[in-house]
Amino acid sequence: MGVTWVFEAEQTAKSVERILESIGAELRGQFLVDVTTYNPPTPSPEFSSNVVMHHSKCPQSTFSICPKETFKKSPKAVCDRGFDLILGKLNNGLVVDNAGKIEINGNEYNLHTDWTIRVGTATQGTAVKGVVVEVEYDPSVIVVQCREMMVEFVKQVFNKYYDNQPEIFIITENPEKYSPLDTMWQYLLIATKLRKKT
Amino acid sequence: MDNLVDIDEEGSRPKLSVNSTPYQTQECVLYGSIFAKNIPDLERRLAGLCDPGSEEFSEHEMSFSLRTSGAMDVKTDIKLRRRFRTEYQIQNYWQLRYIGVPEPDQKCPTIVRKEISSLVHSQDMMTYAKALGLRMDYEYITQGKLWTKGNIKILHSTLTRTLRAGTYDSNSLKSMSDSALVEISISLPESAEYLPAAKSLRDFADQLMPLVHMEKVDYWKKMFSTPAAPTRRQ
Repeated sequence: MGVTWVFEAEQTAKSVERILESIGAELRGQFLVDVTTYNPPTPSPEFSSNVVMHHSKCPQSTFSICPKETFKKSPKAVCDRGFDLILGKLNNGLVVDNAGKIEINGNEYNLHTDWTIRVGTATQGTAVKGVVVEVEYDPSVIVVQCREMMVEFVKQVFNKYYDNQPEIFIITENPEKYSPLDTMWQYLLIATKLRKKT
Repeated sequence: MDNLVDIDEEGSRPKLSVNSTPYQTQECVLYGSIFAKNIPDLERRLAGLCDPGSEEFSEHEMSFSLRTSGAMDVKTDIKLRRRFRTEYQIQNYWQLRYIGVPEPDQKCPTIVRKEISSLVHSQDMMTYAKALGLRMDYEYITQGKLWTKGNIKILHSTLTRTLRAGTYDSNSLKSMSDSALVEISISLPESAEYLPAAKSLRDFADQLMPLVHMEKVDYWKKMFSTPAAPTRRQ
């Protein structure tokens, strides 16, 4: 688990995969991310929605974020899968929005051991919403140490998208630790954006 | 080496049913109380009966219930408990527990209830719990020991509460009573037959007899009748 950059690609998953294979990436397997929103039955400022996410990289974990304006302000937690069962018991206060569930699945590539790149197609129900690329630099969890290199990596490989850096790359000044929750926040923002897309 | 007992006898342990997960279980419980000054007697008894060794614990437990935005209509009786070990200063790991309504089984000698538990890590658990729509009903701090005998779990603990909410240092803690709470329980797979386990729990409880009288406390009757009573009077 290292510093990760998730972005939406404006090209097909196949074409991203072809680029990766041309620079020597090896197919490692599949991956799956799901993003489900739980809403209060009647919207009110006092009760917020809760976004529950899973990533096949952490199969026994559930990530839960109540989105506010910024990641820092959002109440969040990492739980085991028992949390999903407890949420079912809270259905008087949090109703699952199955129609808005976004699933991202695709292939996982490994490049020169240090880089893991996941290319997935985002779907909402049966509708395809877009292509999502996750670039993970495994050896470091300190954002300020590797963000410049990651920008360069994306610039070299795709020759675009590098201007669209994740919030954490821009706001982080001190050598702070990166955690899987930071990755899931990026997925959350992308899922919110994709839902609005037709 | 032949006389070593294999602790994990896979075959003898009850298997989890196919559609249940280890997070979701049902438990048989009995409660009792003992004067704090008699705890050493109980400990000697337990040391003789139980598996060797006991684990000391000091935990903070809070009980929450769900308040829906539709304010008055249905009051959900979902209880969630969170425990944390105050002594280690690792205060960001919480056990989140859903405790179901007990089975209305008159014949069963113990309380039987569904339980789901999950380990949660959050930087700010209180804010997170609030965001889930949970509000705290009461809180207390337990201090005691855990013993085991096979799959039976025995807990005895003294309860203290804090005089100032949010502070848990020794100055602001006040003992709730001069008795200690004794709880014995068995955890079972979700859809397993609970009666044999309940009976063996009852048998074990009877061995503590002159010291502690373990009871099937029907706490839920009180829990459900009180909130309804004032509204009827109006």
